[in-house]
Amino acid sequence: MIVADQISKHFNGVQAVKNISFEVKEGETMVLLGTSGCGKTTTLKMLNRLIEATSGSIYINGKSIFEENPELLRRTIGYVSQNNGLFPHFTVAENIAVVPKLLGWSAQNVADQTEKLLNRLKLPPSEFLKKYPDELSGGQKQRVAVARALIADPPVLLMDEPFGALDPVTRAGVRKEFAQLPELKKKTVVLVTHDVQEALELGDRICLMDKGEIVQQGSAKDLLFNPANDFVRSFFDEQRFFLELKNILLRDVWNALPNSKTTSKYNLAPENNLLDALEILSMNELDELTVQNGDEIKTINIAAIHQGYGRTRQNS
Amino acid sequence: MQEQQSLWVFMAQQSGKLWEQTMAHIGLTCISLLIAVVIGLPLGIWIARQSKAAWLVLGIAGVLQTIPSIALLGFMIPLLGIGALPAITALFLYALLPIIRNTYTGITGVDPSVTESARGMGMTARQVLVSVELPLAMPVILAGIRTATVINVGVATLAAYIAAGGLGEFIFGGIALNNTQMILAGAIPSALLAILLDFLLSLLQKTGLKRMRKVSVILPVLLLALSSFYLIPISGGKLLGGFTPEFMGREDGYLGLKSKYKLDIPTVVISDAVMYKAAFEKKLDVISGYSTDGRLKAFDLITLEDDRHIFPPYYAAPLIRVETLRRYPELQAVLEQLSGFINDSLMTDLNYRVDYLKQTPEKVAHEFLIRKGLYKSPLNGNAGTIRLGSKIFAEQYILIQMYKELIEGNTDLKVVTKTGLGGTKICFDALANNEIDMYPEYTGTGLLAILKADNKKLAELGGNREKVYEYVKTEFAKQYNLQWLKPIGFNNAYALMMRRTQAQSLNIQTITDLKNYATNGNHRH
Repeated sequence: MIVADQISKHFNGVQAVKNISFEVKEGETMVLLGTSGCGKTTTLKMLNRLIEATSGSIYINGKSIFEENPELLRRTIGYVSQNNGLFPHFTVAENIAVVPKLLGWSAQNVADQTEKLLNRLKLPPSEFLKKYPDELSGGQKQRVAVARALIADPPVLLMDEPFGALDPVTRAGVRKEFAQLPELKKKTVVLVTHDVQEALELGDRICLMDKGEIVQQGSAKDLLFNPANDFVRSFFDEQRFFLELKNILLRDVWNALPNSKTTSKYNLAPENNLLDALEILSMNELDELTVQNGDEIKTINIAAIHQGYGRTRQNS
Repeated sequence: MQEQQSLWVFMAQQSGKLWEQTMAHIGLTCISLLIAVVIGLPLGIWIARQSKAAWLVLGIAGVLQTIPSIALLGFMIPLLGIGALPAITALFLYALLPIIRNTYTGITGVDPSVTESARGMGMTARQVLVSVELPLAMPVILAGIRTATVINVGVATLAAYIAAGGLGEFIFGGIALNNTQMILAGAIPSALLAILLDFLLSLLQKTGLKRMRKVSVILPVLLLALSSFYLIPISGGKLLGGFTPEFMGREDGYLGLKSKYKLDIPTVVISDAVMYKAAFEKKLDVISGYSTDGRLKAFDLITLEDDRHIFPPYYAAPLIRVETLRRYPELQAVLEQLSGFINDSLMTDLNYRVDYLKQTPEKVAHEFLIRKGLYKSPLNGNAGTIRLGSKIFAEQYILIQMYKELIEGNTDLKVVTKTGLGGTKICFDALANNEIDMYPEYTGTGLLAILKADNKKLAELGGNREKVYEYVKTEFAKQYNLQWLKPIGFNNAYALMMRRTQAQSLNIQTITDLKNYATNGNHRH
């Protein structure tokens, strides 16, 4: 668990981060979202003291980070830097072994853990262990960077634009894979991005920052449907319809859907969203399809989507 | 082909010396390089962290680089004397800039996201430097070391001027003796050495980023091993001799001392420019000087009597192109006006004024002509131009100035002077190639350095002033179409010199005395 209380950073008299406070609960993923220069990366780096906060206090698992040796502190926090930051003169195996070496692991232990993790990340060890970063694709590099941050199983993971250097197609794939990694499920993650879709997809909670301040923090839905001010509203405007559809789950509109007795060829789950439903209806030129929750089966069609969307917007 | 064969012959004959000089050359280069790496690398790392200090450090190192190498060696002598120490210091200063600059560039050029993630994973500053920054900067740092190596192999040839050895001994000896084989025997190995060391370092550089950690271990070991080639000459006997490169290679010099006197004392090679002072400061005990050198008086040195007559007479006389004389016959009488006016002690005094009292050669020459009633105001005529050349020492500058004033006062000719043409070879080639019309030459130099008279001829001439003069005059006219005019009168011969106080306390007056003292001294050890 991370608690940041009234933290500020001044660079030569310029306030990059102004008295912000936030909390990240255990196992939660928090996204720091904002345009470049809004202070989100500075905020992230204050958490592992790559940048020393000018004032304020930060606690990780109840301990003030300022009372710890910065190097020892960082060895207990996973860190993925911008542009992956892999050492070009180290092999994949050596890159992944950096933190375990610092922690004094045995060679055997390092090898075992590395193998396990690479398998999980779909990088067959026999093929990749001896490769150098410049022999890998962008997506592979990113996965090695993630493996390097996860190898010592740190409770906290900090990621600075981890997918920023990838092309949109690779990026969506790596992101999806990342979101499904079992290793990440129990980790407390702070992730910095300027990509709205990425933020909404990965973040349990989102801190939208502007000019060194947190403008609004909350769930994706909070930000979309209850914007605190015009800045928050306009920040999502460009993709608003798409994002909103994506953030209304079938569960949310469950009660408004008519019951059905049988399942159709296309059967969705309550965790699917309105966009999924709309996509399947349009692509297959269907009138309706079904959603199944245990024994309960409901029907959904264009009119229901329309209605559900309208109601959610109205309620907010 | 003839030339090439004789070069091999020369190198084979001198293989011991060549080997010794090459080893000294490698050693000088590598010791200075090693020190430059030991100091330049941390300095480069430091300024990569302290961007405010960077411009200052790079600026100072840059200024050092712009000092001409021979001048830098000159600065070193008052501070550090002669020998290995000043040579290594000067070479070190030259190697510094490329090493500091490339270390700085290399370290600051490492991708910041790499160093940041290194820190982010909990590496200490030292671990980041050793495991990440240095290996990644190593190709750039190695490029700097390569540059420094090539510079140092070149500059190390100048170390021969200050008694630090190296291939410069052959090069400068060859220039002084007009011996092309000797020059090449020094120049070719030093060029090969530069290429070889550069190639070895390029191999290290090309091993790729991945093996850079090994390179950072290999390099210091390699440098250390190569440095050990340089064994500083340690004087075994009581007396240390310091001789010019020219003297070392001459029959009427070191070779004659060895063969005729059986003189065997430890020697170093040193430039004429610093030799006298080094003797005065007791860094050297016996030097090879010129008998009319002004510094003889300045540094209270005495000449040892050449009791076996190995040094032929060196009477100075104008050496002129026959064509020039044919076109301006009036020149001969004018140029011979000086004859009989300057004897040894007078020439020593004139040299002393320039070398030690720091009067200009122009002033000394002008006042002398006035004193002797030879001066006439310039006629400012326009009948033609005479180009006068001189070697690079005071006596020649003074003589050239006298000739200039005499020609301009007595004829309608204009005079341009090309002073400081280095040694005999440069002057003689300039004259032979019609780049100058005349320069003052010495009979002994003509006999040995240019005509390369063999031992039989030398024995026949027997050091006789008239015979030597007649012989060179005839031969020069025949072989080169050059004319020796009447000698001026002083004899600037080679001589061995010692400090007056030391020579008197050891009761050494002749070279034989010196030889006896040195032999007994060595035997007592």
